[in-house]
Amino acid sequence: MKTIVYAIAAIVVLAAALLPASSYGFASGTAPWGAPVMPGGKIVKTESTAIYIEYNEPYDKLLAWYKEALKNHRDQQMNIDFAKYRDWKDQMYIEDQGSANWHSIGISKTGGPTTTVKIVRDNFTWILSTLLIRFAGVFLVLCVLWVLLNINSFLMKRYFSAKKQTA
Amino acid sequence: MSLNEIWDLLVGTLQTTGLPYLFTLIGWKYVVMWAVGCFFLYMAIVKDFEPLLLLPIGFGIFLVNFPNTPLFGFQEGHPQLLQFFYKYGIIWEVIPCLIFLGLGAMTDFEPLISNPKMLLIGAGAQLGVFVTFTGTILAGFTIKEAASVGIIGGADGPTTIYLTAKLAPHLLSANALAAYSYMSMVPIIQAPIMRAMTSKKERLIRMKVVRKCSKTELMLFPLICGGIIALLVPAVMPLMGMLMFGNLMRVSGVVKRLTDTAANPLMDIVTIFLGLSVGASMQAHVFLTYKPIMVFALGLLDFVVCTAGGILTVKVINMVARDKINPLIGNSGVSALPMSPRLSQVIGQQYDKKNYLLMHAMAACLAGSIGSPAAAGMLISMFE
Repeated sequence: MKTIVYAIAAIVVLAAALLPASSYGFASGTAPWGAPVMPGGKIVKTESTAIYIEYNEPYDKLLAWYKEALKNHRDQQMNIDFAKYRDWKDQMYIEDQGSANWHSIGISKTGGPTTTVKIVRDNFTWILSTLLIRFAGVFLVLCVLWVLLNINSFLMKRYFSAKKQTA
Repeated sequence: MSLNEIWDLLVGTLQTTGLPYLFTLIGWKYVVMWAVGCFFLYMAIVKDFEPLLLLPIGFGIFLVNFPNTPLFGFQEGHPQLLQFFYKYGIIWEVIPCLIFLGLGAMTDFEPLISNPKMLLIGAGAQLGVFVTFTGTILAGFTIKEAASVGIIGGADGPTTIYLTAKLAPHLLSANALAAYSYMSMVPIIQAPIMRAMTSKKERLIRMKVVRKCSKTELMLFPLICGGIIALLVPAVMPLMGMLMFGNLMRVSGVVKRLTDTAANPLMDIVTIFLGLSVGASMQAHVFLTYKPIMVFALGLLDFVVCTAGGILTVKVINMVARDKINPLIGNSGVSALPMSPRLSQVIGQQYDKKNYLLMHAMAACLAGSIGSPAAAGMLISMFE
């Protein structure tokens, strides 16, 4: 009986965690979920979780515009920036670490006159992935410690038994 | 002296008191905070729940929630008394590290060193963050805030303070208070979970007596553990470095005076500053908002799931291990030292008077005290 109760509880918790973000009331549809959008672009592709906008502007101009647009995306009181910039090889990846309904804005680095901006909606995949990494990471750290402690204990035992025999 | 002058003098004097503020729109908030402060004082003095911390915290709350008191603000750019402790002790992350130094000097890691598989229980007890993190995001918190709330379940006060000061300093008072409150309520929260999740047969499992470790082994532990943490999660080295340094002082036996100072007078001094400044940070306008209240609710959930996570980890280990572990020590994977191990021992002996679980539970708890900073280090590296 107890096992059944645990199993049900585990399933409920897991299901709640894995439900699509939209079921939690996140903004949905084709709107870019509150993310800033530079005017003058053309929507080239729309997915349920992402939107692609193409501009006839160079990368630097778009980046400068987004930096300006996101300069107030921060906790003014605590002086914490919510937008985290990651400079990748193929794009500038701007990640929201606040509680906005968008998760990221990617500005492609084509090097040419056109640039594509990809806006991704907030989602639980990312949240759960970071948690999984963290949980696995804690196990990893402690497992490494476990292995080393075992080796240490093995060596110590051998050292002391050898010393005893010599004595 | 004219009547007008006397009147002006009286009004001026009245305005320097806190009385006029009590009758403003926010006056009720002060009264609520006095009640909160007195509640923690009651828990500490009458109920003996974690008095070393809840008493200074309770009094800190009480003190700062009087209008016009020059305690937690800034005067001509200089921090006032409790603001000074808070700014340089907590925001600068000095006090949590000093507490870890004292803890290291007080702690005997032998039960863990002699049975290192207990480390897995410490890792398993971090499970609570899954639920809490998701719940916290749903409640409208930011990622960094969610990460800082998630660590509460580890029941590790200094780590909670350290992480929160880095990621979400505005939640520091709520997080610290939730962590210490739940730590003091271990018997109330953990006992029913332990009973519900274990069968009678499991509760009767007797574990092997832990072996004695050589002094060399004890001295190598802080070096090995410190080295691994420094390599894998360097973000948390201020905490772990101090813990391991304190422990090395203890086990080396060559600096008895320093060890005594770190474990006793220094620990007492920083505990006073910690308690007062955490309490003082709970000013009415900061604390009486929905977020701190959510922190308490989610922190409790976190603590419950972490406890369950520790017990489940023991059950998983028992599926493969030759020497079975009593799942009653799983609760100690949260690092509520010494309450959780004591509870494992008490409940274990209710079913078998000759079953001594204390040292095994201590090992799990020590694993938690390493696991929790490791988890915090990962959160810092991900979100800072």
